Amino acid sequence: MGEPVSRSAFGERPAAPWAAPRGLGAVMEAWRGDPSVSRCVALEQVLPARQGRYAPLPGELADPVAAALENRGIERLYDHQAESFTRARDGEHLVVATPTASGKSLCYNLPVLDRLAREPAARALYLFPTKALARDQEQALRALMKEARLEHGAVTYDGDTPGDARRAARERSGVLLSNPDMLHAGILPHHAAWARFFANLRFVVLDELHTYRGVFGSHLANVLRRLTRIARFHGSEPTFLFASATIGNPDEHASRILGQPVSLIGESGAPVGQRRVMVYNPPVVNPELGIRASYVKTAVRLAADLVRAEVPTLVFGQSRNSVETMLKYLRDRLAADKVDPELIQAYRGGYLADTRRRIESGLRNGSVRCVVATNALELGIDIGSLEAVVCAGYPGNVAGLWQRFGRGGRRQGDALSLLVTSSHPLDQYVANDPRFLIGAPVESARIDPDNVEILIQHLKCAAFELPFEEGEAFGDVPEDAVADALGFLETHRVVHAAPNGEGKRVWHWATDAYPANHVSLRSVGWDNYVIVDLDRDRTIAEMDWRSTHTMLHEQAIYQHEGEQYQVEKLDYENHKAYVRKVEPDYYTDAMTYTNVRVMSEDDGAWVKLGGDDGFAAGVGEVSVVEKVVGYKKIKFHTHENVGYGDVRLPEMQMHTTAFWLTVSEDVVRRQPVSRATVVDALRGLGNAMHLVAAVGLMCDPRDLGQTLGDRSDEDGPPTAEGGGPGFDPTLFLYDQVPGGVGLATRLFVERETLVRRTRSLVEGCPCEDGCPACIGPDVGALTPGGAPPSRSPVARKALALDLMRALGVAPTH
Amino acid sequence: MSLKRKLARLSSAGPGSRPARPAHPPPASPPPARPTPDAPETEAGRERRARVAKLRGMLGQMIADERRRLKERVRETPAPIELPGELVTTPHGPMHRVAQYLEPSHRHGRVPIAGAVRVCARTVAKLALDAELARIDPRRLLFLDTETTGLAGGTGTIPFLIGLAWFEDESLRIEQLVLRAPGEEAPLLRRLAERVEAASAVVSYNGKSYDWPLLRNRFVLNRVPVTPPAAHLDLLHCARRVFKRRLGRVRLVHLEEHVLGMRREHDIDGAEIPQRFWDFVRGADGSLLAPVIEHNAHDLVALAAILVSLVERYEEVLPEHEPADRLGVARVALRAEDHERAARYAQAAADAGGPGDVTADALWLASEIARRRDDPRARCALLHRGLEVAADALRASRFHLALAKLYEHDFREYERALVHARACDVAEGAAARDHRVARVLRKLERRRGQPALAHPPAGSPAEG
Repeated sequence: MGEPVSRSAFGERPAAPWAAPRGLGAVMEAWRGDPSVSRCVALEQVLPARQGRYAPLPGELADPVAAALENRGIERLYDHQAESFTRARDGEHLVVATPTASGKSLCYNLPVLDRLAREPAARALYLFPTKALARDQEQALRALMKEARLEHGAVTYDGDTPGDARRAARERSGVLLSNPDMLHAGILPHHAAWARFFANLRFVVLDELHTYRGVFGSHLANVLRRLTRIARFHGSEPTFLFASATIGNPDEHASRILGQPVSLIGESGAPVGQRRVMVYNPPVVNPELGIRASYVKTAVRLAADLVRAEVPTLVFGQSRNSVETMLKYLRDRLAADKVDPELIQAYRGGYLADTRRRIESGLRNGSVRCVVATNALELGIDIGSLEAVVCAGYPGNVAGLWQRFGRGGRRQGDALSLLVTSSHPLDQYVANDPRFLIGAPVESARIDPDNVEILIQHLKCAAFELPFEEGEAFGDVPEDAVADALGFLETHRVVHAAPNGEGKRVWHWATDAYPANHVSLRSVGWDNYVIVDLDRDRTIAEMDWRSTHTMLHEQAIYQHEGEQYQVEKLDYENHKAYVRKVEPDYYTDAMTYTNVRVMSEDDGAWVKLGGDDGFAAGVGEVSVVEKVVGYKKIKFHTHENVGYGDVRLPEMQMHTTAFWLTVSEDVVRRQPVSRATVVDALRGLGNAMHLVAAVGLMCDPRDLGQTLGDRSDEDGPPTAEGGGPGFDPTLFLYDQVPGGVGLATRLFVERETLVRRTRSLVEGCPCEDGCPACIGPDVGALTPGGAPPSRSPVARKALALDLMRALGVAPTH
Repeated sequence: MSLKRKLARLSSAGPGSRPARPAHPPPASPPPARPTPDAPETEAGRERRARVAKLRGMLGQMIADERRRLKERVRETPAPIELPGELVTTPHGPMHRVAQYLEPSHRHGRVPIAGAVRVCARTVAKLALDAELARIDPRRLLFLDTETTGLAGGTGTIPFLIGLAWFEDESLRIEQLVLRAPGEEAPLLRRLAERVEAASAVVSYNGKSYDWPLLRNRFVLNRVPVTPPAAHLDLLHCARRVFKRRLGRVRLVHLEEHVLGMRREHDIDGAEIPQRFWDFVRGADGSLLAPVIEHNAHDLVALAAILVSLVERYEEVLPEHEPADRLGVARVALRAEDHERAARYAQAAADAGGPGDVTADALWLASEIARRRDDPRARCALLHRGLEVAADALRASRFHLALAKLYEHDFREYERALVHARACDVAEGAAARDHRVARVLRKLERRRGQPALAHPPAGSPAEG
């Protein structure tokens, strides 16, 4: 080290670090004056500051609570807070969906505290998706309750709560803060010991509702069915208050989760400062292939400008790996400016609790200036106000982007929200039409509480908690469906039916198992893997089962807190990965192979859109087999591919719902090119369709899997030669969730729109012959990520369009 | 896809489930009717339907015949063995009860159980380290033990056999309440509540953390009111304190074998119990539960016997009492602030000529009691005796350490202190030992008014 001093002596740097411009304004000015930056800006829009709308403290608010607010200098509320109070007080189930930092927690705290002040025996249950959030709220709530002179405690009850504190939580807390997992496995199965709590339960608060999507949301809906059932047994009917970040369908989503109508408070009365939204699309470096400069490196460069100018900055990465890579790059880059590397920290899921706590407090007190984070920080943890948010890569949905942008920005003063787009198709879709980010309806959260695998597991838990009586519904699951499911459980001897005094059948739990222990809400049924550092013999992180396959296979480079570790041994049986610190000049990227097989077709249709021909579309249950077959070594900084390796891991199998389109062999044979070329063009169409589906469904593209296979094929995907005779290439789009959460079903309903929009996307794309934003660059069979593409001898894009025409999808113009 | 079809595709119901058995079909539900076209019925169609109807009739006849044959065969086989006991009618529904009396002279192993009605409440309170128990009336103890559908706890675990026993005069009345089917718990719980209310204390084995919380759940779930027991004597904790050192494991069967001097014949494996209950509920005969009932009755009697045995051990040192048990009692007495007894038992344990480590620990305990009584001479003698029998380095070093302190601070005999201080390293670490040795040497030097004979080892701290 010591290099920078001598370099500046040679005049390579425009200014010494202490003379460098400071503040956001200076950075913006510098960027505007630098054509290499300004020409890449795809969008720069200033969202004006907005005045607040206020309402007086409601007259009905209990005196001690009103006094506590006044003591804090709160003499009026935002109008949405006042409205929430009045409606919640009347027992209406509500969802508050207003932007970050609009005072959502007061929307639910006021009615709850008001009730506690009036009814000393009353109880409330707060559920947060993470332990950290519950602990955060506990502190804030305790202070407020003390100021309101409420005798009730606010107690966090989670896996970390020690034994004696648990008893106090059960018996004395006015507000119990917990998480759905604890409610599911630690409270409901023991509800008899919580009789007083449930008998007096008046409010249930669920914050961060938008995080309960997909499997997790489907599980949560079932946990709430169980909660409502148990509360009713103990004689209470609590009011549910939800809070959500902005999503497209907050009230629909909340109603689906609760199984009862929930009304919406969606207009925020809070003032906001001016916000500059920028989209930065890195320059094209390979026009033929549509490949752009690395978004990771670009984001690092822009973030470094901000950090150097002392602007508190939050950088979001797409994955754990990219977060670690960016941390390393940022620290390396800023070391040249003598910026203390400790000022820059990473924050992601998988870090142990105390590491995360340390970083959170560092952000608040200023000892940390820049945090590189995954979406673990998306959630409402209080980190103070940050002036700039840099999003490296589009998170896959508008709601997620705004959730991240919302982590920065203040009530007053300017803030920067910057998106750096990657070469990924969806990112390019956004960069080409960035205005849709602003003012567009944001995505809807979807769940399927009636997913049979999930439902059955929760019926078991519910039967354990309380026997089912004939004619009993389960939330909004009708009684005859419940009876069917219980009959199924009876044949498996999990429950036992016996008549009660009135001659009705009653199903009792009838095994010695404790069912909640076998149901994990976060993924379907698999435990985490722990990562053990061999040198220090310490657990450094955890990882879910699915990610383990791609990130912890043997020889993988696992990145953690800016350090690289190599996986030496993966103990698959015992869920442990043993790693050792290394200093390689590369990282690894796993290659996955996917095969889809149709198990049953629920519905099918012949799609004909004007032309002579058409194609078959279908929806139904499929088995998806994924297998990590190898990995690539990617060199740091240059991102060259410097080698391959094998991976031997069991395949992952899942039953889910898929939507598919089948191109008949006839059509394939009629094309004037080889079968392999047709298959390749179809793959391209699959790429485009996946993109359109993700945007059209407004879902995260990662929730939707895509692959090309054969409708009837049992032996895997077509080979490079394009399969033998009798091969009907089929495009599959499937829910990336066992059992499915309804995405594929929705695609089947909208199949015609989907195909038409795919056509217009490919037609309208300005690229030469396929780019990531349409049919993708030419890719081989086994190349996820960015393997070196080889040029295809034919015009793929034209062929794709020809193929669509042959299938009867007429040109849009 | 309908829920039914999805259910049909699920291969398993997950953990805890067993493969579906065709013998127990799900509640019959007609297969979904196939939509029939509205076209007028053809001649061929009519004929086909007639054939189907005829076939169905034949099949129905076959099934009926088969059933009749099966029934006859059942009638021929000997009648199923009934559940022992009787069905009694209560205002809250029928209840199955197994009742018996044991004679006042009944012994469990070598222990006459009727002694339980004469135990001294104050002794019991000391044994259990629970002052509440000093007020109990030993003639009104309720012995309680349950058999359950699992060990997981939570609201889905059912105590299907509630075993109760109490003394009527000196006869032990055993009353076991057996659940015939889930959902019929109320009369059992009412009877239990009645007996709990009549008792001055509940006596159990691990009942404080297992049986009673489970039963409390059942009271809540079945909405049966209950007054919590006036006092609860959990013998597991008492037995652990006294017998753990000798036996290692203190499950009831271990105590029976090594304390009460008996061995159960043909006792059922506890792990089998839940499944036997479910098989019984699903129609198997009562003989399946008979061994469970016997096992439970045995446990109840054992509770009374262990109570007698523990109290006896606390009140009197008998030659047959093992040294390790005496040491256990001494420790309990010390915690109960019964110092005189603690000293006597520690001494008795030390004098019994038991294993060296037990003798050494007993002497150590006796020396601690002497310290509390401020009797350094007695303490010194006990420590020296302990040092003689201490076989392992750690124990010996602890005795040296205590002696080093005693000689240095109480008696100011620095030469003796020095001898022991040099052997303290295992107990307190080499650095602390060096420090101690250096200090004793300095004191010695000051007293002699001349330089120390020995130099402190190299590297030891200069002054502290």
